[in-house]
Amino acid sequence: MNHPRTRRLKVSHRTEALLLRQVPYGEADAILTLLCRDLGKVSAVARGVLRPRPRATVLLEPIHRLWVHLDESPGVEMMVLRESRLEGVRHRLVRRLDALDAAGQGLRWVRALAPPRAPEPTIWLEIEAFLEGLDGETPAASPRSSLAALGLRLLRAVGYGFELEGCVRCGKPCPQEASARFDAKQGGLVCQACGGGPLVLRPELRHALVRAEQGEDGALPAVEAEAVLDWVDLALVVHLSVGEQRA
Amino acid sequence: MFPPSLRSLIEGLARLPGVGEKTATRFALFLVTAEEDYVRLLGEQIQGLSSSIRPCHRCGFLAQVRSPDEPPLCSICADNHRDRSQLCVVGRMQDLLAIERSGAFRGRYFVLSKLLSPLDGVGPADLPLEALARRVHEDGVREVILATPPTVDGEATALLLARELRPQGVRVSRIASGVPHGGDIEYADQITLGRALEGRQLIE
Ligand SMILES: [Zn+2]
Ligand SMILES: [Zn+2]
Repeated sequence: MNHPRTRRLKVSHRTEALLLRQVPYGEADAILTLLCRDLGKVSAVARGVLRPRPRATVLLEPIHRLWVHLDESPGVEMMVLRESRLEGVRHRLVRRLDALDAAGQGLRWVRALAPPRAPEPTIWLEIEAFLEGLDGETPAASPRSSLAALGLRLLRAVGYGFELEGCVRCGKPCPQEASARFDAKQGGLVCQACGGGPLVLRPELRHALVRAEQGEDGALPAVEAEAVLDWVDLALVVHLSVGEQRA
Repeated sequence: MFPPSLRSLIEGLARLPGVGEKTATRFALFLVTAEEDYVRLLGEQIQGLSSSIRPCHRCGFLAQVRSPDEPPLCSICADNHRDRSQLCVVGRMQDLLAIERSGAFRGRYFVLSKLLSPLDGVGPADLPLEALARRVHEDGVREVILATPPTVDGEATALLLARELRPQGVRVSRIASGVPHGGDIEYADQITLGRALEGRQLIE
């Protein structure tokens, strides 16, 4: 059926991927949003995947790491999923409700934050490390703490990271051992001269946030997780208006 | 080409599952020339569906509405020969029908109509947990069999239901999942094979 010239120009991609969304399309097809290791966030149509017996070559699940074969035609934004299989199965994660809940939120953040069609190695590494951590035999932190740390890192990865070393408005550095005013909506510390922020961050928490953002597992005290999650949400609301996506 | 009302009928029919534009046109042309009594009755049946068929107030399966003040009760819930002590929880009506076809279950059902979905943010508050707990309590259910699908969402839902139901002192079991009958072990995915090995049984 394909025009010979179109067929020549078609590009095939084979890459690891995470399923970010699956929306039914018509009777048996689905429109997918995938985060691909090599391509970033892409949309693809999966034909026949919602049939009672989908083709054995297409296995799609969230949370687990997939291997996908996608076809891209010139001038067409939507790719076509040819084949997919489970590449990295996270047996332990999918048996923990709190971990599942955190994983779902992390993937929704990625869906909101990742720009379309641009390879995002940092986002890929962050979400993969997060999911692997949740799947660990003895997780380093509670799922909510890990999620809060992921939120900080994702914000940083897309250029919305909190300014925690100095005033986000005037740049005045904050002394190491001082408490500081913080405003998640403004994106970090705000000095008194610039109007201050609604919250006071103790130096220990401020340092913990910095360490968590830099990737230290378990740096965030569990009791602070909910507060930090709220700040991440506020930052997302400001930048993307996606705060309501947090369940 | 077709008159407007026929055109819109074709469009309506084409939305039925398994029916494309071509089949819809065939149906429409058949109906236009069919016996008038047949067409009128068919029309009435379709029109009456939403008022005559309602979810069963006990299990969520399809039930005939008998009178406006009588809560709808499906044929399975109304059948006194079925075992009240076993309750099978399914995600969708289609799954109930499949289990019924197997003939392997003589208890009753509860249709959730929705599964937990971490990816879509569907949480416990979105599931009919209270109705299920009430059902278990009122019917004196001794075993709840969780028959949600073997997917991330289905497993998550099973985990949640088990956690919610156990304090009620009821036995909670999960249907086994594994290699399909007539299937090929070589082509089974890692999760299926893992589950099949975990759920292995002694041969006596
Ligand atoms: Zn300032
Ligand atoms: Zn019923």
